[in-house]
Amino acid sequence: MATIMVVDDEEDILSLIQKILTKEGHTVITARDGKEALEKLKHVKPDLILLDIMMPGMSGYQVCKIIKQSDETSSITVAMLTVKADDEDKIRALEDSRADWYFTKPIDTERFAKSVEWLLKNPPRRG
Amino acid sequence: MPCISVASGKGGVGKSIICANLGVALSELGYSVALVDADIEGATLGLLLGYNLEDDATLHDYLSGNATEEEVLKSVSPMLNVVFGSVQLTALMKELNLERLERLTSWLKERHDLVLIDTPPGFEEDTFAAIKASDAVIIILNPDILSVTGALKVRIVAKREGKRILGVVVNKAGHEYDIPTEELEAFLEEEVLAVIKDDPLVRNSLLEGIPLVSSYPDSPASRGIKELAKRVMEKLTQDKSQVSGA
Repeated sequence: MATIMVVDDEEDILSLIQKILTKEGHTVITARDGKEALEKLKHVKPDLILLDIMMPGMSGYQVCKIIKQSDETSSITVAMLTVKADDEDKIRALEDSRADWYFTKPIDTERFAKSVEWLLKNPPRRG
Repeated sequence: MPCISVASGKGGVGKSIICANLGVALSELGYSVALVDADIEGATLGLLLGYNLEDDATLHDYLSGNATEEEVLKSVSPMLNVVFGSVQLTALMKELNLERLERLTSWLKERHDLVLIDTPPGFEEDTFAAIKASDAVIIILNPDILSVTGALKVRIVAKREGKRILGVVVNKAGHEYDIPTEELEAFLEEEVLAVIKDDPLVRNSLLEGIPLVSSYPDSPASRGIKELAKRVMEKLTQDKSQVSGA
C-alpha cells in the first residue's frame, strides 16, 4: 500500500479523498495549502501527491513546479485535482509545471480509485 | 461527405502513416477517397504509398498557382486519389498561397466520398490552413504526456476555427507505461476512435513502400487501422442521418 499526500484548501474534498484512499488501504497525509505541503515534504516522501490548483498563497502550479525542480522530490508522481477544466489549464499543469497527470472535479469515486492505482503502478512517461 | 484533417500537435506520433493507411482502408471498404499531403515541409505520402513522383505536379505547384486541380490529382488505385506534396527543396522556396488549400478541398469533396488531409505537425500557418480547409479533425497521439498536450493544442486550434473533433486515435500502443484509454477519454473528453498497436511490421511496410494495410493486412496495426476506418464511417453516417432527420 502507498503513502499519498492530498493538498487542498477545502475540508470536504480532503475528507472525501481521504475516505476513498484509506478504504483502498493507503496512508493519507493532508495539507491545506502549498506551504504546508512543502514543509511536510521535508520529512516524508509520499508515492503520490494529489494537488489542488486554486489555493490560498501559492497556486498548485507553483507548488508542483517546486516539487519537480527539487532533487529530493522530483521523482514523486504529482497529479492535479482541480475544478479548472480548460485545455489551457491542463497544458500549463502538464508542460510548464511538469505534473504527471490531471483530474478534474467532481470525481467518480470508483473510477478515481482505479486511476490512483494506475498512477501508483505505472505513472505516464513524458514522451 | 466531409474533409477531415488528420492532425497531431507533436511530430513523430505516426500521423502520416495512419493517414495514408486510413485512406487505403476506407477505399478498400468501397468509398472513393482523396488524400491531400499538406505536410508542406515534410511530405511523405508518396513514400508511404509507394508512388514515384518524378516530375508530377504536386500540392506545392497548386498552391503556387502553377497547376490545376486536375493536374495535381493522381490515381493510386480505382477508389483512391492523392494530391502529393513535393519532396524537392526548390518547391519549398516557391511562394505558396495556403488559402488555395480550401479551394482544393472543396473541389475534391464534390468528387469523392471523403477527403483526408495529412496535416503538418506543430502550430505554424500551414497547420492552421489545413485545419481551416477541413470540416472535422481526427487527432493522432501516442499514450504519453507530451503527445496528449499536443492533442489539446490541436483541439484549441480546431475549436477556434469552429471545427468538430471526430475523436482521437491512440497510436504506438501496447506498452505497460501507456496512459490507459479510459484515462485519455476522461482527460481529453473525446472518444478514442481506435487504439493502434506499436507494430514492427510498420517499419517493414515503410521499407517496402507498400501501405501496411495492403502488405500486412492481418498485422495488429492493420487491424487497428481497419477498425478506425469503420468507426470513422459509422460516425459520419450517424451525422448524416442526424442532419437528414433534423
